[in-house]
Amino acid sequence: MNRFVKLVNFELSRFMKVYLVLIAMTVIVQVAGVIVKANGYMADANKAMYEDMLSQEQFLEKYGQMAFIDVARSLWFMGPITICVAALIFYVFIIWYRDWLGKNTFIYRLLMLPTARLNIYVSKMITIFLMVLGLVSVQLIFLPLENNVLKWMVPTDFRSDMTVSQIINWKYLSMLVPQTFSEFVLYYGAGFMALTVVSTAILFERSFKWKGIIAGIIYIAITVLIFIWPALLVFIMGRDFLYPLEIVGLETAMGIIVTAMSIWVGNYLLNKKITV
Amino acid sequence: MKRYWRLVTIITVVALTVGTFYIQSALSASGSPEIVFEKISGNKDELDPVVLEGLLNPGSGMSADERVKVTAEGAMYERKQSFLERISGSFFGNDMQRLKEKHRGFMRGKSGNASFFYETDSTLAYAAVNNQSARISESNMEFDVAVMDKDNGKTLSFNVPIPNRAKYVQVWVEDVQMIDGELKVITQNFFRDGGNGELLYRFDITNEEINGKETIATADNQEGNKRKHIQLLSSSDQIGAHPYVIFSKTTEMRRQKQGHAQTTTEKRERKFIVYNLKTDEKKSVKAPNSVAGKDVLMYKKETLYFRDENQIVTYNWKNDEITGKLKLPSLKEGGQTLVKIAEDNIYVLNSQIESSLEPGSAPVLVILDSDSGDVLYKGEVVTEEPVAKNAYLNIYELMIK
Repeated sequence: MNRFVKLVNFELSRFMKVYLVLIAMTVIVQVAGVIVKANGYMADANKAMYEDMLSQEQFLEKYGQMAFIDVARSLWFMGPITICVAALIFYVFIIWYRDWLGKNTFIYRLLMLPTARLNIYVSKMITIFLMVLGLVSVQLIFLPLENNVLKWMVPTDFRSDMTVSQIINWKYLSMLVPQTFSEFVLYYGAGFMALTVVSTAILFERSFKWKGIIAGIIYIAITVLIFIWPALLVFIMGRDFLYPLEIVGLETAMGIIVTAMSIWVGNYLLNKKITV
Repeated sequence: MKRYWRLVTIITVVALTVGTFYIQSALSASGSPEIVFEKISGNKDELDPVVLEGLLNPGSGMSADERVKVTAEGAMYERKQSFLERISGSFFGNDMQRLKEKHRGFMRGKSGNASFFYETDSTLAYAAVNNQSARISESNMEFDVAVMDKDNGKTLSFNVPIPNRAKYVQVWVEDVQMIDGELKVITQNFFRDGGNGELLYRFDITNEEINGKETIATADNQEGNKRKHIQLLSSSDQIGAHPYVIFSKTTEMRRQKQGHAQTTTEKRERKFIVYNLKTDEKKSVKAPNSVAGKDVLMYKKETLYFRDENQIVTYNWKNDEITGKLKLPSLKEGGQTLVKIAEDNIYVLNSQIESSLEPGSAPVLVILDSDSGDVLYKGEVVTEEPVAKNAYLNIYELMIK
C-alpha cells in the first residue's frame, strides 16, 4: 500500500508543474472573460443610452439583461476547459510513453522496483483520474467567484442573476458536473473505464510494437462491443424488453467487467510481454 | 505525511468540493416555489384524485420553464427527482406507469398508450400492431396480442398477421375490450388507396386466431366536394370495460368559389355510430340540433357529454333526449378551460396560458357533482410564498387518478 501511495504521489509530482499552469490559465482566462464580456455589455449600454438616446427600458428590451450564461457560452469560458480536457487526454498517452523516451529509459527502473507491476499500472490510472476530478473541483470553486465578479461589474438593473446550480445545469457544463451524485458516479466511472481500456491498448503497442497497434485497436473494439451489447440487443430486437433501470444495471455490470478485464490484461502484459 | 502533500491536497480538495456541491444541491430547496390549492369553498378531500401537470416559469430572466406536477400534497418538480426516478419515467403517474409497476412481467416490452390495454379485476389484455410502415412493397403488419388471467397469473400471447394487410398503410389500435372471453379490438385503418375506416377484429384467444372482422364505418375516397371524417370518441373509462364504443362521423360539403383558392365549408353533418360490443349491433344516432357542432367531451354508457360554451350538456342517445345541462364556472378573458369527467364528478380548471400565481388571478379548480351540478370544491392554485411578479404557471393537463 505504502509503495502504491508513493507511486501515485510520484506520478502526480511529475505532471504537477503543467497541471498548476493549466489551473492558473483556466482561472485567469475565465475571470478575464467575465471582465471583458461585462465591459463590452456596459459599453453597448452606454453607447445606446448616451449616443442613440435609448432609455434604459428600451435598451433592455432590445439587448436583454446580461447573465452569466453569456460568459459561459463564450470562448473565454469554454476555451480553457477544452484545453484542459485536451491536455489530460494527451497526458493519458504521455504518462506511458514518456517512460520509454530519452536515453535512460525510465520504465526500466520502474519495472525493476520491488513492487507488484500492477501498482505501476493502477497508480498511473489513479493519477489521471484524480487530476480530472481536481480540475472539475477547481471549476466548482471558482464558478461562484466568477459569478460575483459579474455582479460587481454590472449594475443590478442590467443583469439577471443565476445561481451556481442554474449555471451548471447548462448543457455543456452539466456533462462535467451532472445533476445528481448517482450520475456523477456513473459518468466518471465510465470515464475511468475508458481510461483503463486506452491504457491497455497502449500496453499492447508497447509489448508487440507494430502488431501491437492492431491488437490494441482490436482490444478497444472488443471492449466497446461488450459494453454496448445490452443497448445493442434492445436496438436489434426493436422493442424495449428491458426496463430503463435494468439497462442501467446491466451497463454498470458491463462497465465493471470491462474495467476489471482491462486492468487484468494490462497487468498481464506488463508482467509477461512488455519490452523495454 | 509531508512527502505526500500533493496527493493529500488533491484528494481533500476533490472530496470537499464535490461533496459540498452535491450535499448542498440536495439540501437546498430547489428555489422553485411550493404550489398549493387554496380552498375557497367545499370539501378538501375531493381534491385527492386531482393531478395537474404544467410548466412553471419562475420569472427571473434566464431561468427556463420547469415541469411540475401539482397534487393536494403540493408541487413536485421534475428537476428535483433522483436519477433513478427520472430514467424510470415515474414522474407522470399515468395508467401506463401504474400497469408497469403492478404487472412488471406482463408489461415487459409493451409500449404505446392506455388504449392498447384493457383491465378488469380478473383480466389484463393488450393488443397492438407491429411493423407499422408505409412502404409500398409488402406489408408485414401483425397484431401483437397478450391476455393475462389475473387469478392464476397465466399469460397467453401470440402474433397474427393482419388480414388483407396489403390494403393498409397503417393500422392503429384505438380500443381493446373483452366480452365473454372474446377479445375485441377496435382499429383505425388507413387504406392504401386513400381514406380510412374504423374496424373491429375479434380474436379467439384459445386458438390464437382472428375469427371475425367487421367494418364499422369508413370514410373512403374523398369525392369531389365531400369530406368525411370519422373518429372514435373518448370513453369515460378507456382502460376498463365499457359496453359500447361510439364514433362520430362528419360529412362536410365544401365549395370552391370562383376565382378563390380557398374552399369554404357549406354544410356540416354529424352523426354518431354506436356499436354494441356485446350484441355486435350498430346504431346510427343523430343528436338534436341544439348540440350540433358542439365538441363531445366523452361518453359514458348511454350518455354523451357535449361542451357548449360554458355548460356541459348531457344527452342520452338511447332515448334520444337531452338529460341535463350543467353550468360551468364562468370563463376568464383569454383563458382556457380544461374539463375532465370521472365517476360521479366533473373537474373544471380555469386558467390562463400564462397564469399568475397570486390569489385572485391564479388558476381556479372547481369540482362539480355530475348529477346535481352542486359545487363540491372550489379552490385556487397558488404558491405558498410570494414569487417574482412575472412568474407564471401554464397548466396543460388535468388528470384524475
